[in-house]
Amino acid sequence: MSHGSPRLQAFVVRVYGALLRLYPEEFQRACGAPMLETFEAVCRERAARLGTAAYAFAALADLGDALSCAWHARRAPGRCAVAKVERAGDTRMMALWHDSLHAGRRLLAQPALVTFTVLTLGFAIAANAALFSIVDAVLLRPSPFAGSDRLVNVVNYSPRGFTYPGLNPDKLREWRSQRDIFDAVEAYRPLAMVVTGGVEPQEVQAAQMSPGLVALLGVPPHQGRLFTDADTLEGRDRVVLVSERFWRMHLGGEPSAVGRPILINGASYEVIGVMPARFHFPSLAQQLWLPMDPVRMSRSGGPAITLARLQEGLAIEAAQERINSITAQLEQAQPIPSGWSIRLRPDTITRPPEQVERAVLVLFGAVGLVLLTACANVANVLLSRAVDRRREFAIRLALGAGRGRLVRELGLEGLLLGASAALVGLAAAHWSLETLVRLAPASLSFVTTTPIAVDGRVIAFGVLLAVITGIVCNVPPALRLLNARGTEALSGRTSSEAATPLHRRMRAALVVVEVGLSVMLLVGAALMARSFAQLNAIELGFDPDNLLAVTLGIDSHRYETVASQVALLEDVAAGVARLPGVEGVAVSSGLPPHAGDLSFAAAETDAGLCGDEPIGIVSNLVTPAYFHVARIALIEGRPLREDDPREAVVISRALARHCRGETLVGRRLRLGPAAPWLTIVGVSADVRALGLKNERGDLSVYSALSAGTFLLPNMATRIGDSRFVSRRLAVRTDRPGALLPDVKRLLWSIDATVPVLSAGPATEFMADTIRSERFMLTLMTLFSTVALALASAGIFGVLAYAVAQRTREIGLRMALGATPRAVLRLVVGQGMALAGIGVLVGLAGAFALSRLLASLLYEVDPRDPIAFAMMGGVVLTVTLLACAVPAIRACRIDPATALRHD
Amino acid sequence: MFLPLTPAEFNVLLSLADAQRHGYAILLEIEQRSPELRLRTGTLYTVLKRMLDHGWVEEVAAEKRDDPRRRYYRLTPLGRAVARAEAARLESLVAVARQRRVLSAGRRLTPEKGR
Repeated sequence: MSHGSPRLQAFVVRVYGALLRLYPEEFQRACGAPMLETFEAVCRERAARLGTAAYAFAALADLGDALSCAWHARRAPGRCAVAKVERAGDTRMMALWHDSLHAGRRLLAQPALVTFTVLTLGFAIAANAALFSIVDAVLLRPSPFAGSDRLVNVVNYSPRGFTYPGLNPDKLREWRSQRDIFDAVEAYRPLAMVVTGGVEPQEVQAAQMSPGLVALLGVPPHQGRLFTDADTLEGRDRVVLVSERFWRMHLGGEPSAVGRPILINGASYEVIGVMPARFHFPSLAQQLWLPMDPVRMSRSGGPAITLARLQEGLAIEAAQERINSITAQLEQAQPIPSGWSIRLRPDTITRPPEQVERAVLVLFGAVGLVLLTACANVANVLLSRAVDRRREFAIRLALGAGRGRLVRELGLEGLLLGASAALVGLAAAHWSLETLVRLAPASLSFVTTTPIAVDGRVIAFGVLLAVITGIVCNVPPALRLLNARGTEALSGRTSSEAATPLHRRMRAALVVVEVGLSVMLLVGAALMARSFAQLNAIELGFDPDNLLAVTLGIDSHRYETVASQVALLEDVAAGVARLPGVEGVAVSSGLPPHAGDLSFAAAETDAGLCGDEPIGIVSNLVTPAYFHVARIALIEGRPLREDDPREAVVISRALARHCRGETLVGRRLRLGPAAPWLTIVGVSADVRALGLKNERGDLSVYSALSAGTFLLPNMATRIGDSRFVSRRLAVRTDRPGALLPDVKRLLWSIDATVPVLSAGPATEFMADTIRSERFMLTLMTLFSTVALALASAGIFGVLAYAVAQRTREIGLRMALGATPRAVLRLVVGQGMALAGIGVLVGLAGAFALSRLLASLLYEVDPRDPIAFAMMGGVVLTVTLLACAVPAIRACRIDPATALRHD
Repeated sequence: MFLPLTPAEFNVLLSLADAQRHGYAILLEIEQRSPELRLRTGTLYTVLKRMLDHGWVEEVAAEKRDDPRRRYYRLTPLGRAVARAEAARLESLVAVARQRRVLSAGRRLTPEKGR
């Protein structure tokens, strides 16, 4: 843990300065400035000595001291105030200790109450602490990248808003020369590589970077060195930076690993450095980084992403204006098709994207609501228990006990409850956080410098929260007790008149709040559920059920020609087809959600250009059985056949529409002026090739596996000297998981060196693409259920108490002729009135706040009336049930005994 | 009429007895001498303000090179007299303690606090 962070220090000093304003005017004039100066000196000294948690506690003590002194200064300005201020600690401590013991003993005498309170609060604190650790790691900790608020992507925007990240060597030179806009322009490209030399070949995510990029990111290496310009020279560029995880797992974690060679894609690369554990770029997945000259980089392989840093003090809007004004100049160097523009976008790698921030904050807000609900419930329970102590408190007040002393006693009780809840809660958070993080999608455990765990800051947060909660929950009882009308309480009359209007109103208000909060949470969950259902209902275009997806890496050094690769794959496919339970096998270069290859081209039929700009097209090389095995419907024409010429292709309906295809079957198509003409033999249904949420995958072209890359010369595959080519086996079977070992055995019996890069049921891969939505939905449902349970318990408690209070009255009514049904109506009416108000309040709150969810919802209106109405109905129903038991009990009151009841 | 002083008040007076000091220096000095007091900034300045009002302590012009908010304090003759009175009172109490054999006569019971 680093020593007291400067931000915390500045914050604490600011709060102290604000507290100073509570002092009397004259005091501030005389001592305000030196007081703050002294405090700053104290803080500075502490920051150098203590860790963050200790620092926070000490600062809290100081703030408390300042507060209490301010109070004394106001109360007794001239007096020496010998009695209160700074007794040497001994006597005051002793008094505090005795009071605490007393409070503890009193609490222990009510085990049920204490258990209920501690568990309720503990659970709420656990949830809040867990989410705070996520918030802390994702949002509060500083980014590991230097100057990350000045990093931008330079992106080409088409007239229709389509982005093309392609980097152009001339453009790069041009941008680098614009010293008044950028002080550094670098580029990178993520890619997958296969590391061999171990037990079995492994696919590892990597990224190529221009040498200045690592320096731009400002993270020093853990070992070794970073890239220099010399590393991009031809022949000297077989160097690699590895991640700390890779270094530990594959290189033994020894310092001597630096300088050793490793085999990547069959070639030997020297490890020149190890990046620290907190370095993740461009995502958590990357483990290797290779240098590349951006000029050469942009000529081969896929598009590279530009990362540039704006000049110090230059705002992104101002930079954008400068870019716009020099676009004309750039156009001379490299003509840009009309309507395209160059835009700067804040980089989303080095900072969490707004989506993630929004999601995390929404969840954090939701647990906050759960905590409030829990507090309301606990306060209600404590309030009802407080009635038992009215007599005691009234006597003590009458005998001259200071109100302050009594308040302190109650405060101590609250503190003890809070502390116990903190203990329970933090332990629960610690145990559940691991599971939570494992279930969470990768996008939520974003670029975090520290692992998400219950560390000092989270503990401090949890304790603070628990203490405040414990004390706050005791406020209504305190108000109740200290406002006790002395004589009445002393007389010993406890029961039926005990519920004063204030008391009743407080309890009612608390219940209304609880119901309202649970309604809000439920509406949120309902909206997310609808959104999730919409996502699940998306027409996939193919049938992933009972489909096994296996990705193989074909070594192009062993299978140099396309024909040999195809022969191997067909052998494997034939073998798999003979396995029991297999209905069909196909081979392809891509299977949703891993599409195949995405390239950008301007489509053209023999009727002319299809559109005025290049579009992203997914190219998939398939065997003829693919359409049948994946159950992709053919809308026109026919699927590919064995004997088709290599120009034959099947296109997707979306692509046909883009090409304004009336009947396109039999027509010709080419992707780009330099590409060969293709013949369309069929039009297939649209497939979500890039995952559920990505509509761009709909534009697809399927050509025969054996055709290789003939038809699509600008298809993005790997870097120039890539060795491993990945191909997918799609196996239709009724037991996909169980079949996998047989498939592997068969594969390795044909060629034992072919690595299986990934394998699993296709449904899992598709489901992975909406993992974050599922995660959010699960959490929101959990929170709202808990809140609803708490609210129901609250209503139950209030009604049960009211019935107990009004036993005499109800007995009287029944004696005077009221039917049980009338009594039922009375009780239920009371409960439902509260619930009704709560629901209205909750719906209003949800209406106001649901806008915050908008960016997380998929095609669902955040003010969707159905969701609101349904959840309102659910809450009313549940609360009705909660009213049932007390109501029934009320009916069963025997008038005779009731009237004898005091 | 002012006596007995609270421990905090007396310690602050002692602290200013041999030199003029600013707030932070007083805190440091007291922490070294009597760490069990745990004097905090708020309490210190409440005491100082009171002493300023009573005229036991006065402000001194600060050095040029310091933070402009820093104030130095020193004892006034009245303050010195008050400190002397309190010390005398404590001394007489200690004498009674020695007389009644609560404290051994002439020998130091607590070891010198050396830093």
